[in-house]
Amino acid sequence: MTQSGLICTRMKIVLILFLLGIIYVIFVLYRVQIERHEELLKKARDKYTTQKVLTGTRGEIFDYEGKLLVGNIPTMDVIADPSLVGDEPECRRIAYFFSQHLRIPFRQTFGRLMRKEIEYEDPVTHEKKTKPRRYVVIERNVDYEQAQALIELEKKENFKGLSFCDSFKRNYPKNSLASNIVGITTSDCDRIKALNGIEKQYDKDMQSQKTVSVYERSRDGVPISYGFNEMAEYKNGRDIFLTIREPIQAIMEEELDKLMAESKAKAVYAIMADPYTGNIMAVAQRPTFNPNDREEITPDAYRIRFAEDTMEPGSIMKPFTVAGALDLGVVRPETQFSINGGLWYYAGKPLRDSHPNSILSVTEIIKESSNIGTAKIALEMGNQQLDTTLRSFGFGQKTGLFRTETRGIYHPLKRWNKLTPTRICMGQGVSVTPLQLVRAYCMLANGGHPVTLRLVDRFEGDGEVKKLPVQRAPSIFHRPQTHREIVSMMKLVTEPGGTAIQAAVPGFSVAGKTGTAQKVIGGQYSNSKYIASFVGFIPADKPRFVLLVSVDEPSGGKYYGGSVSGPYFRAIAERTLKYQYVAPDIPLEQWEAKRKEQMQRHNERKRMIALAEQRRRAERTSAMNR
Amino acid sequence: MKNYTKNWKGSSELAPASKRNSQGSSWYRPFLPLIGIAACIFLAVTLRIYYSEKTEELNRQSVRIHRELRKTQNEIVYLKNQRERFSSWKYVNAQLQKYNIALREATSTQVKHLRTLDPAPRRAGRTQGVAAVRGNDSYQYNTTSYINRN
Repeated sequence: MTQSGLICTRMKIVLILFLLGIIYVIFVLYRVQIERHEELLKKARDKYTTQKVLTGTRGEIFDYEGKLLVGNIPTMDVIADPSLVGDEPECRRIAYFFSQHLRIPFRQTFGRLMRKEIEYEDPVTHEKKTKPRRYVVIERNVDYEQAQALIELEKKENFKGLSFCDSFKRNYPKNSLASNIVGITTSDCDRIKALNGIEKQYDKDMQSQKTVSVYERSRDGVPISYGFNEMAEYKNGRDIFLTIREPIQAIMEEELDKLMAESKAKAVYAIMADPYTGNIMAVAQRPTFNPNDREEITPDAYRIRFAEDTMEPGSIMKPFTVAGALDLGVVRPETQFSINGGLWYYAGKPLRDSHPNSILSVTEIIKESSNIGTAKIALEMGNQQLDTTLRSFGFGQKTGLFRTETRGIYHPLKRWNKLTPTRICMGQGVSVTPLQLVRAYCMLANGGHPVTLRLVDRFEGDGEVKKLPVQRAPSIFHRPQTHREIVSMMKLVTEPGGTAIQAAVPGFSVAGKTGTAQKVIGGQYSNSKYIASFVGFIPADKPRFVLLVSVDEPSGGKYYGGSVSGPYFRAIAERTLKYQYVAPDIPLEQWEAKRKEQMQRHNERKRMIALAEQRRRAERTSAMNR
Repeated sequence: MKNYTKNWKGSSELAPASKRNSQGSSWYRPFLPLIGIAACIFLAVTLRIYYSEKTEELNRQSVRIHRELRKTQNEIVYLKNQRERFSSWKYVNAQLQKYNIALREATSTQVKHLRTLDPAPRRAGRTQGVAAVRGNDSYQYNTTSYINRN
């Protein structure tokens, strides 16, 4: 064989071997890629595919102007992998580190780190097996700044198997401010559970959506761009903007703290609402709680008193009866009623007035808060009309602000007895929530238009703004002058001779009504426990707000609505008006002069009454002597 | 085109390409397309690996930036919460009391008299304008009125 023939043969052999090699590779590829494709792909996916649960943040709560009331604050969870942290001395070192910096008991951390394995039952063979423990929570929700410092320290210490994961927790930057309204949440495993208030009411809207992303990852956990991935987008909860204004809320809460301290009451609460829109501008109660300090929360503080508690309103109810009677043309402001010297028997039961008078006009009945006068007006109206009037003011109907709200007690007409109209008109035998009272006073202030109270103004989220509509119905008054007449009467309450002189705000006309309701204890009216309230609107003719201040069981010596709640009505109203830059509706000098004149007139009237009384007594004595 | 070839005896001769192909050196020709395809596959795989590497690098970079962004976002949220805490009236009030800062509410009775003492400053104001144009800075503006406070 020639040399060239030999080379050719060798080349052919090499080529054939090469071809055989290629054929083998193709065969192996065929087996791997086609025959065992599913099996191997599953194995690979199991190894490199990971699942990640992504959760958005819960919606936040803001006041009307966008000031944060409830937010989510970033925190960090400290996680350890016991299989990586090391042996006992290393675990001791880590446990000591966290006991020093996070004040976690040493034994707790050490115990967790030393449990290196988990026992489990094999689902197929039902044998007990062990596997390495890879996940232990050292501490949840570590403060963000503290966590950042810890990360730096941890790097210096060179611990292994520790990681810091981002998390969020509910934060209340204003502490106890509006805490009863906004409510609180708690975490149940990794789920946020709303407990009360707005948090519970709008839980569905505020909840974030949890999504599971499945993706192939590289060794360091980064998703592979060309690998299989199903990345789901999570959704944050919707933010809620309330109708309350934080500065006004702060003013109200500050004054309520003073009132609580002064009156030594069981509870106090105040509600301020815009009579035209029904927007709650501020609402507060004492006792209350600080949501950032859960250990101090008591059931008394936790309850939303102004929605869940009912009270007999007392004299606060009188203007509704009178407004109804005026509107129906049953009485006129100057119509006079005999007050029988302050004691009147009806259906065999006595009815008393705190001020003994003989004759009072309808205007004076409101000014002096006469029970007898109001009862007589109610009787003039008749049961049917009285019931229709009170129902049209919303008594017996929920305001819809909270799910936990109560309806109050308002008996249907068929259950009324002979005495009912004489009692219900002055706020006895009926129980209402403070919210219902404020809604009814909004109607008195705005000319009789029923409004729906609003606490939530709008929702924001996903680039959408959903505004809740203002609902205002046509006026319930048939006569246009009814509103003016009842407001004029209510203005007198804060003027000299009225029951709430201390509620007057210099430079402004205040229309309001006091209420001193006896509490029902064991089915009987108590002579020592009262609810002292004052509710009014200011400026009377074009009100900026309706404000109710109520004190439950004042024990500081005073118990009348005018003297207990009146001064704080004034304080809250005065500061709020200043904050809102509302100009006085009467120049201050004029207001002072008018006040002085009214005081003189009132003193003169009192003197005349005293003289008349003296004369009457003298006549009676001389008649007896004769 | 003509090529020179050398035979095993050492003499060279000029042979036409068509004749040379038909004589025995054409056995590898059927493999040429296969080699071409293999080369293409190799090129494609190399390119794929090259670009995948580039993509991964960018991907890692984007993940890193994403993490940084999230960290910054967390910091913003944290600071927002802190700002809200420090701006709450309760906190501000506590600080006012702590440092005994005299903060009084203005009342309308604070200003009792507003009296113009000297009508001359009006003229002075005009003079000042002229003086300023002339570059005379030494001119002092007179107080126009005094507020008597309670």
